[in-house]
Amino acid sequence: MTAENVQRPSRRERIADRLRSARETYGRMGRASRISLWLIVLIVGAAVLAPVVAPYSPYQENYDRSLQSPSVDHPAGTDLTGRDVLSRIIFGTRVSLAVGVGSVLLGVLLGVPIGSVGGYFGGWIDEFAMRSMDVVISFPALVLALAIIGVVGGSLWNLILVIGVVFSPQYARLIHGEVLSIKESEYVEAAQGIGLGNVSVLWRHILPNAIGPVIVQATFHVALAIIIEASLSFLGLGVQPPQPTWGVMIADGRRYLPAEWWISVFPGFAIMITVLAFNLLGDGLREVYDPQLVDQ
Amino acid sequence: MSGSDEPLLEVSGLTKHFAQNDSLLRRLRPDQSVQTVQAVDGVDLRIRDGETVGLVGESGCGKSTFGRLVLRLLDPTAGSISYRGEAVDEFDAAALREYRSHAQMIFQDPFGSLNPRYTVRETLVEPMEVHDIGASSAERVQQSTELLERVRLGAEYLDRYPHELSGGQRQRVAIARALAVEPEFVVADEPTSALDVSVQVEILDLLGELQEEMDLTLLFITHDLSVIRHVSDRIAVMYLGNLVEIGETESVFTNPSHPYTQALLSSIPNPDPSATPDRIPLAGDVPTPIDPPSGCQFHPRCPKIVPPEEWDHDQRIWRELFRLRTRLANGEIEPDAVRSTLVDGDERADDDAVVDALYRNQVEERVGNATDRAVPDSAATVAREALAELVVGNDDDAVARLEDAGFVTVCETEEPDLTTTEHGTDVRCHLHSEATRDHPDRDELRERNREKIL
Repeated sequence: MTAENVQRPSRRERIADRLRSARETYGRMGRASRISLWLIVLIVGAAVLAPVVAPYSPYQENYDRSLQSPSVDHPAGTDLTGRDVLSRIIFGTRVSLAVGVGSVLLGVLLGVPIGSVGGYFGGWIDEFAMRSMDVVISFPALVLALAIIGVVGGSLWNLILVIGVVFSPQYARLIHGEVLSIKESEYVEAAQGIGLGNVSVLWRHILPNAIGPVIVQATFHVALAIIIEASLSFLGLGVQPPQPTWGVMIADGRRYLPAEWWISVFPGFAIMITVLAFNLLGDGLREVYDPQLVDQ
Repeated sequence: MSGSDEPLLEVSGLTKHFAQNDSLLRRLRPDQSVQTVQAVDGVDLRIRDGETVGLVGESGCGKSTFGRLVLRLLDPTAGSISYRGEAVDEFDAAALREYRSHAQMIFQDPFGSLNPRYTVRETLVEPMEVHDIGASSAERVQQSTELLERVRLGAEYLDRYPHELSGGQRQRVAIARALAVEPEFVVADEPTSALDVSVQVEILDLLGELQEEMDLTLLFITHDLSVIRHVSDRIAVMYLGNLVEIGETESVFTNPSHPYTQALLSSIPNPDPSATPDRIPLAGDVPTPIDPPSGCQFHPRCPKIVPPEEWDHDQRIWRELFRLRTRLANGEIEPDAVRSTLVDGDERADDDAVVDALYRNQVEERVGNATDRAVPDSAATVAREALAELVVGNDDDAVARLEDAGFVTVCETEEPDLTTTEHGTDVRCHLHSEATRDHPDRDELRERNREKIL
């Protein structure tokens, strides 16, 4: 083997490597989580391409078509002001996904640094970091979210912020435990032994080996965040009308139950399918990443 | 093979105590104390440029901790480490990083010492990046390839992950990583103990070759004496956190001076079936380093424990009586159990009978196993008196009776100093310690003991 072969730039290889390991992960997942994955791809697609996919504008009122039952023109019926329910569900996907993904991302960005730094350095830093996380976790999630939203007011960004903060202690604890066990391993000692600084050791050697459970947890949390968003919106504390979100739609439709059931039921289905898809994907990923389950 | 006499590394009084169950609350509570494990306790060692020093000892004796202290992977509790005259224990972060390019470590477990998410290429390039070795990434990869060839692996291993390699291959990669910074000094912490026997030999040969090629100084830590003879110029024997014997490998192997070294060497299996087994058995287990024995830490297990000079009989008889004292002090002898055995056997079971039975079990038989001589009458009387105290429940008086009668040794009262023997080895044992022999305290002790015995 010549030196030129060896020196080729490794970026393309790295990407190929990532793709290969992603494909491997996909191959090891069960049927349910594979279907969930494609479902999530579909949902994300719908959210991104909402203006193209939706048959009507979600805001367009049409009083001639008020409270129509599902038909070919309006597959999911219309609401009091004649807005197409299906189009509103499709546009509502954007809010739900934004809150789900955004708040989990924020939770990870807050929790992982706090938990990993505490676990790695130990001592009073650890005590301070983990005890302050304990304070946050000791409030019931929904009540804390309600209280904060009650103070700062409801909007998409506030929702993301609040749910992210509520989630962060769970990531801190998760990564904390992983870091504690990994920092005792010989490869971490070896990394310190070659003169690597603490930040590099943590970033390059510990975190990549500790992040697996966090990814699994994040998938579950996306589903949970969507539910919290819907709950808060249902209570009128979330995203404000006329922007369509699933929770607001259910809240609007409940006044017309049971006669005009489609206004509430279809957004309910949307929540159910999305949450189920994320949960099943989380299960599948956990089976792949958790070595104890793999053996069974 | 040894180089000049200038010490590359000089360690003196190196000590590491680990706190157990340490927490702020526990420190504040007056009813609880923090226990310390004395993993390394005052080690002195000089390592010359270019030599290989083998550090041997049982598991748990602190040898791995010592290796990590020398590289400052752990911070010492006390003592000093000097590398080429510079105080390693006082290095700041920048100096420590610089030190890491001179001194490296090879770890015991090749399955744990490589980052599972790093390819071999990343593992080898990283240390070069840290220490600015090689001008470009292409050059570093080029050097990695050379390193791999040095450890008898090819460039085709560059993009493999650790899980794709065998144990021997992983250990080669770990060796290559240690050599990536072009170190002068390498600590090898049991680099072969996790490997198959056939692979062990390959790795040992490789280390030997690399040492000569790259002019390395090696501290080789192991519990395997046959390995140590194979690789080292000098060996240091460690027991419970301190060195008991240091010397040229051949001198130590042919003339081991410390009783512990003698026992260790006698435990090497001899492949010759016709050779008479000459094992020196050690009494008891390794004591816990939380509360190590006083004086010479080996004395509770030592077959050559030094009796007071007034003792005119066989040392082995004295040793058995001393061990009787130790067992009494530890509460290991249970007269009630003996009594119920006697009762079950329908024998006489009054106190005298129990003392007789205990004496037979605890003294006569043991002395009989050790030597064919009989226990002298005076000693037998003392032992019976002590056992009688035990039978009536005065455990402390039983021990005191033996202590008063002179069953006290310099080995438990004084820590021996390092003394050079006629074979050129340094040994820490009262048998060889001239200084202790002429110690004024020792004379006093002798006087006192003589009075007691008379």
